[in-house]
Amino acid sequence: MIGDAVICPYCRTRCSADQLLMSCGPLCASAPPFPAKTLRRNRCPHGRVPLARRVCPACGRAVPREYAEAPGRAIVVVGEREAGKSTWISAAVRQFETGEAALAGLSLHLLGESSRNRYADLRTPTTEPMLMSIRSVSAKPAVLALYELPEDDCPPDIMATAAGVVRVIDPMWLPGVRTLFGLEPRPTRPAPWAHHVPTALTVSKLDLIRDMFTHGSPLRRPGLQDRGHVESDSLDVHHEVEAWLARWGGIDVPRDHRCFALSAADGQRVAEPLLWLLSRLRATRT
Amino acid sequence: MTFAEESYVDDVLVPVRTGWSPHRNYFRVYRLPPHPRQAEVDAALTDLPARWGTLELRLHAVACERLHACHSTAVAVLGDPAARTRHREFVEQEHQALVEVVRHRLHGAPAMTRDDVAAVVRVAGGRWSTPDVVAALDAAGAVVREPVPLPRIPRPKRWPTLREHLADLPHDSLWEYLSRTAELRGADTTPAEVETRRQRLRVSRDRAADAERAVLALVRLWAATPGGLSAALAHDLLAALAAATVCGYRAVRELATPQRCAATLSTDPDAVAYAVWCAREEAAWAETYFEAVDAHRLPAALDVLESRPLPESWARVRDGLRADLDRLRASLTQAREAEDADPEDAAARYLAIGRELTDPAVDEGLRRCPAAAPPAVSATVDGAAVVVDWQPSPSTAGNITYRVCRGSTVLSEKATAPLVDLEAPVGLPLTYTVTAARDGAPGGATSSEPVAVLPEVTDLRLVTEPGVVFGQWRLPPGALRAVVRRTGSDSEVPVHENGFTDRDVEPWTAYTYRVLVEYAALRSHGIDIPVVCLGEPDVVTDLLAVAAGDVVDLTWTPPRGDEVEIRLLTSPEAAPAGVVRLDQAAVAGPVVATSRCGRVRVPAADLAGGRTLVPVTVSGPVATIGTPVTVDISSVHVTGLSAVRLGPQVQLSWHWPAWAREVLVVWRHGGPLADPADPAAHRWRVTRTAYLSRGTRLNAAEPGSHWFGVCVVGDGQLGPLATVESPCPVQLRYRLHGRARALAVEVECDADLPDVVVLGKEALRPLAPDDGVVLATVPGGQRAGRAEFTVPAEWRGPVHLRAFALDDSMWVCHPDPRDLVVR
Ligand SMILES: Nc1nc2c(ncn2[C@@H]2O[C@H](COP(=O)(O)OP(=O)(O)OP(=O)(O)O)[C@@H](O)[C@H]2O)c(=O)[nH]1
Ligand SMILES: [Mg+2]
Ligand SMILES: [Zn+2]
Ligand SMILES: [Zn+2]
Repeated sequence: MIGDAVICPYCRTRCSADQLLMSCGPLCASAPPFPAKTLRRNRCPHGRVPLARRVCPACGRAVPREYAEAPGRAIVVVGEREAGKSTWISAAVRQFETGEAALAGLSLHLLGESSRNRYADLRTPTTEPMLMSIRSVSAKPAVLALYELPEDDCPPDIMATAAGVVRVIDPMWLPGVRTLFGLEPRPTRPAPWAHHVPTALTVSKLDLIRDMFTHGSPLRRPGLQDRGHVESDSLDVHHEVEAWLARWGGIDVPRDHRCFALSAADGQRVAEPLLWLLSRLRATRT
Repeated sequence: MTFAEESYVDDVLVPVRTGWSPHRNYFRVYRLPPHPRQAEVDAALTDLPARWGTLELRLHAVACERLHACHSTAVAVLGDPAARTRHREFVEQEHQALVEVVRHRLHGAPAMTRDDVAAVVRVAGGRWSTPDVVAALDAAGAVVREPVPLPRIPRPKRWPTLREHLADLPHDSLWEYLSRTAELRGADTTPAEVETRRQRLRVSRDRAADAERAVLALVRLWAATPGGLSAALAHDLLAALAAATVCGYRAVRELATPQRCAATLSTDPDAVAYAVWCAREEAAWAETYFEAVDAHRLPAALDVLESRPLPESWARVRDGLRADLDRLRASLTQAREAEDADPEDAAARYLAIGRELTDPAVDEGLRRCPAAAPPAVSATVDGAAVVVDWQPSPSTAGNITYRVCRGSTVLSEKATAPLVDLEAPVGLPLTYTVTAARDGAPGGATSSEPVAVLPEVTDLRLVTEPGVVFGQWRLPPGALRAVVRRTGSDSEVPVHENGFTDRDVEPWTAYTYRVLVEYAALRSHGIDIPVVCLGEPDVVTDLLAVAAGDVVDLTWTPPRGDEVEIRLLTSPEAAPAGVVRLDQAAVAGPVVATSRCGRVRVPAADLAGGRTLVPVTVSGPVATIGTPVTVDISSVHVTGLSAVRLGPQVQLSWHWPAWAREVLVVWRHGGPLADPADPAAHRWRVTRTAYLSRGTRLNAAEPGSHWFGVCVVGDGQLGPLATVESPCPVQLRYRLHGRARALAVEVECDADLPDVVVLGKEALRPLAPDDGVVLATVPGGQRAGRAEFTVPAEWRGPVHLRAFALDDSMWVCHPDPRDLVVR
C-alpha cells in the first residue's frame, strides 16, 4: 500500500501515502508527528505502537486510513442552486445504509468525524467532502470523496481532481417542462465547465413530472436497486432520459455521460447514478 | 468787440446788483483786455453806457444805474494811461490775493462746488465776485464742479463693535481685513469661506483670535442678507474717507483706492473722494439727522434741518419731512377719535403710525385700546399633567399673544393653545389664567374652573388565596395614604404601609375593592377591582383525552378553583393526594395546558410522545391533583394516503399521526376493502422506521383495480382504516426479431389488441406515437399480431425503435433496451 499517491480530500495536496504524518501514542509524551515512511515494523521512532490516524502534511487534517490505503476517488455533485443535490446525497446514503441497495449486498460507511458531521448537516453549503467507503461481497471497497458544489461556483482545483461527476438537473428549470407547466421561461446557462470524466446527468424530483410518461416508460418503474447495477435497465433509463432532455432543451451533454432520473422524495432509482459510477470506476481501475 | 449779453449779465450785472463795486475792475465792466489800445478804450467808454439803457438789460436796471453812477470815475481812470496802469496793477494784486484764498479753501481738492464759490463771494463781502473766484480757481488749477451723489448707506447692525474688535487686529478697516486674510475674498467673501476661516481659528486661544472670531461673527451676520456685506464695506469706506477729510483732500483721495471704490460703490475713486470731500461739513449734522430718522424720531430729525441753512437738495428733504410729520399728527388725532367707537380700529391705526413715528402718544393710545380677553379657558387633568386650552381673543390688530399663569405662577409669556402643564402640583385645587396681549401690551384675561391633579395608586395588584384577599400598590408622590373600601362592608378595610390583608371574606365569593388616594386637601376618585376570593380547590376526576389527527382534545367538568393545569404525568409516584402546595404538585410532570372552562385542545407534538395526563386544580398557592388518564388513540388514523403506480408495483405514502409507531397495510385485488380482516386481502405490518428508510411498495401487476388500506396499530387495537384505489392497466408485450435492418414485430396481449405502431428515429428514442417515422403497423382486434418492416438503409445509426399502442390506457411492456437500437 505504501507509496501510492494520495490527494488530500481537504486541501487537495498530492503526496505519497508514506508522506502522511503519524503521531506517537500517549506513552511518548508530546513527541512531534513523523512521516509514515519512518515506521519500522509498524513502530514509532521510539519503538511503540503509534496512533492509527494519519494527517496531511500540508493542512494537518486527519486523512482516514481507508482513504489513504485505497486511494479515494473524488466525485463532484454539481447542479444549480436548489436542484436537489443535498436531498439526493442524503437519500442515496440512506439507500445504502438501510434501503434497497443494502439488499444487493452493498454497504456504505462514512469515514471520519468530519464526514459524519457533513452528513448530519447537508443543508449548510460548504466544499467539505463526505468521505465514504462502499463495500460489496465480491469486490474491494471503493472509497469516494463526495463534494456538493453549486454549478456556478466550483473551485477549479476540486473539478480538476474529480474522477466522476453527478450533475443534478431540476426538471422544473428546463424550458420544455416550464412551457408544459405554463411557467415563465427562464434563461438557460451553459454549464460553466466541460466534464472529461464520466458524468451522470441526473434529472431529480422525478415525482413532480411522473405523469408525463406512459405506463411502459422505465421512469414509471421502481428500478432494480436491490440487484446493484443492472446494465439493461440502466440503458433503458438512459435512452429514455436522453430523448426527454433533447426534447426539453437547456442542457449541454458532455461526451462521456449516462442519463438518470430519480426521486429522492420517493426513493425511486436513487442509488443508480452512484452504482453506475462505481461500476465505471471499477472498470477503469488498473 | 462784440457784446455777449448773457456773459455780461453773469460777469458784471449780477455781481454789481449783489454788492460788488464796479470800481474794483473797470477792465471787466468795460470789457477790455488788460493792455487795451487807446482806441479800444475810447470805443468802450462810449459804447457800453449806451447799452446799459437798452431794452435787453432793463431787468437789471438797478445794476445799470450803479454803472452809470461810476462812469465818470471810470472815464478818468481808463482814459489816463498812468491811472489805467495803476488800476491794472490793483486788479492783478486782488486776483493774486484771491488765488491764495482759493488755494487755502481747496486744501488740495481739484474743484469747488457752486455753493462753495458762492460762500467765498458771500464771505468776501463784495471784494470779489463770482467771476473773480472762477478765475482764481482756474489760476489754482481747479474748476467748479458738482459732486456725484453718493448713496446713503445706513449704518450696518452692531457696527460700533466692529471698530472695537478691529482695534485688536492688525487691520484698520473691514476692507483690509477681508482682502488681506487668507481664505477670504474681500467683498466676494461667501458664508462658506467665513465658516472655513472660523474652523481654522478654533484652535487659537489669544486676544487676536478672539477679536477675529467676533469680526467673523459680524461678517457672517451681514453676509446673511444679499448685498449686506458690500453695504457694510461701503459704509466702512465712506466712514474712513469722512474721517480723513480733516487731513485735507489728498489724504481722502489716497484712501480711496480704485479696488475698494469699485468693489463697494462701483464709482471711480476721484468721484468718490470729491463727493466725500464736498460733504465734509454736512457729515456731522447729517449723521444726527439720519439717526433720528432711523429711530422714527421725526420731530428731532426736523429740528436738525430747521436749525441751519440748507443747500437746495436738503431743503427739499426738510419740506418733505415737515409734510410727513403733519400727516402723522393728523392720523394720531383720528386714532384718538376712533378710540371710543371702535377700539380695535384705533389700535390698528396706532400700530400703523407707530411703524413710522416714535411718539409717546402711540404707546398711550395702545394702552387705552388693550387686546380683548380670550372668550373661554378650559383646564383638563390628564394623568399627572393639566392641559390648558382657550379660544383666541377676538382682537386682531397687531401681534396677539397669550400669557398663561397657574395661580400667580407664569407658565408661559407667549403660549400657543393648548398648553400642557407637566409640573402641576398634586392634591391642590388649581386655576389657570390666560391673558391676551397686543404687541406685548397686556389686555384682558380669562380664568379656568379650578381643577386638581389626583393620581391614583400604581402597580395595584390583588391576590387571593383560600379565605383571604391581599392587596398591594405603590402610592404616588405627594399622597398621604391609600383608603380601601370593599363591597359588603361599610367600614374601610384596614391598610398597612402599601397594602392590605383582608381575612374578613368568604371563600368562593365575589367582591369589588376600591382603592382611593388621600391628599392633603382632596381624595382621588379611586380604582375598582373585582375579585373572587378563593376557596380550597376541587378535585377533577373526569378528565377525558382523545387524540384526533395531530391534536388531543381534553374535556372535564370545571371545578371550583383558579384554573386547571393539565400536566404530562412523568412521575406518578411523586403525585401526592389531597390539597397540597403548588410546588408539590409540580413534580407530577410538566404543564401542557391550562384552562378555566373545562375544555382545551393541545397539539399532539407538545406531548413529546407521552400519553398519560393528569388534571391539577389550582387555587392560589395550593392545588389538588386529580385522576390521571391515558390519551385515547383508538380513533387515530393516517391521513393523505396516496398510491402511485410504478410499473408492476404501487408505492403507498401517507402522513403518520403522533404516537403511531406501526401500521397495518392491507390490500386486495378485484373488490373494495371492507375492513382490515377481509379474508381476500393481504396484510403487512410496517413500522415507522421501515417506512422512512425503504418506503412501502407492493406488487400489484394484475390488470384491474387494486384496493389499499392503512390503519394504525396502537394499544393492541386497530384504528380506523384509510383506503385508496389504484387500477392496473392491461399489459401489452412485444418483441423484435430479424437481422441487420430487416425486422419483424410480434405483439401479444391478455385482452384484444388495440392498433400498434412501430416508430423509428435517428439518434434518439421516440417518446410518443407521433415522435418518429412509422415503420410498421399491427392492426388490433386479436390477442396477438405480427408485422415485418425494414429500417431505411440511408438512416445513420444508431436508430431507436419503439412500439406504441394507439390506446393510452394500455401498459406497453418493452423488450430489452438493447433490442430497440439498430446500429
Ligand atoms: N418533490 C421533490 N422535491 C425535492 C426532491 N429533492 C429535493 N427536493 C426539494 O428541492 C429543494 C432543494 O433541495 P436541496 O437538496 O436543498 O437542493 P440543493 O441542490 O442541495 O440546494 P443548494 O445546496 O441550496 O444549492 C428542497 O425544497 C427539497 O425539498 C425530490 O426528489 N422531489
Ligand atoms: Mg445543498
Ligand atoms: Zn491536506
Ligand atoms: Zn513514539
